[in-house]
Amino acid sequence: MINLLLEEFYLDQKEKFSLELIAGQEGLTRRITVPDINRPGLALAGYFDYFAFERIQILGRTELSFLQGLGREQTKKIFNKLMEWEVCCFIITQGLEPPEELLQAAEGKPSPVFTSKMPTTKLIADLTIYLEDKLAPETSLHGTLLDVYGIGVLILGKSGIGKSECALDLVERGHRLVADDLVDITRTAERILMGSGPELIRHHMEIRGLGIINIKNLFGIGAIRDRKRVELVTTIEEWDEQKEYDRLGLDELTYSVLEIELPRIIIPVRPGRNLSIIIEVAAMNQRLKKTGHHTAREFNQTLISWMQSDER
Amino acid sequence: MLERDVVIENKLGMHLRAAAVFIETGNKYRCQISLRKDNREVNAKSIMGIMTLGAAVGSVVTVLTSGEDEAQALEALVALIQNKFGEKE
Repeated sequence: MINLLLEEFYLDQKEKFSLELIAGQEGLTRRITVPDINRPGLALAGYFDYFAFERIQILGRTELSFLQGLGREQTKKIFNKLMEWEVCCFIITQGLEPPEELLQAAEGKPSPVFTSKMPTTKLIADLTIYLEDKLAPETSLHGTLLDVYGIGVLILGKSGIGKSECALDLVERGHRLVADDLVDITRTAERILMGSGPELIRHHMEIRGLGIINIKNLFGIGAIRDRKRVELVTTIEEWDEQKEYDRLGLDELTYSVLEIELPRIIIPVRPGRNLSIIIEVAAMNQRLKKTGHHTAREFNQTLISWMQSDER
Repeated sequence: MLERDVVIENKLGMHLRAAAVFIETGNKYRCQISLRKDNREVNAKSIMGIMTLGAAVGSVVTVLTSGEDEAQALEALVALIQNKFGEKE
């Protein structure tokens, strides 16, 4: 399961969210498991039937002024009750003075309490973006990712089949390399798949016979990009005489990455077949489909209409 | 499937030459070989894959083998890492 250590969150983001740890240090070894945020207004009012304790709890001016109205005795009771749950952590916003009852209740409990100087709404917005990015599901695939005519094309295939050579050919033709050999893919909150290369080997390629080359240095900044949405999967495989390859393009194959189905084509290779041109055309065809034109279906429809008409 | 943790002991860590020697040794066997460090697992027959691990001296990597000659392959690869990939230091 994807999660984020509270200690890592605190140390990395201390400045960005102007955080300060004021209680519950023991809890820094615990983890944030959900990207959602909670304002525990109802819990403070005593409603615990449904309490999203696993989320970060934000206490702003509203919550604090509500507590002031409750009186110290009741506030103490509520915070002690809150601490019975394994609350992820508390953040008090706008640099407000944290209620003493909270600090007392948090003493020796595994729920850290932070203060932040940021305004509540801004903190919630920024925190949500940060957490969704950090907690996005991710995977790594062996393959090559390029931006071909604006479409993120992921090339998959057995090692040695010629993925890198094909990518090199595409770069040479003016397309952009995102990652070669290993592609890290994350699924964003909008259910988009974003691909990029691991930082250590970014924009480098290994070509049999040449060794390691740096695409950015060789072809310039225009030949690379850091990340790109993956929209099309092309699998390269050896031509199998026994197998029937798609000759119509009427049916859509898909390839599943992080539970998202991507359109997929299978390209058989044979000496003399120019792979990069086929991939270029596949990318253009994908764009055409996005604008609502499905060539194979339109062609078939025209054909059927003609055969059924009287003018024939 | 077999796996074993090994500490990288050569001074330069798993740099290009070391990775090449590792792959060369792995290619003598038919089994699937992968390497894992922290959360990342890569195909140990790919140079770039191994490079992404950034396995410096002192780090622990896990060698994973699976297939008919997995035991021999694991022995040979673990020994290679322990012998500092044949490097002096």
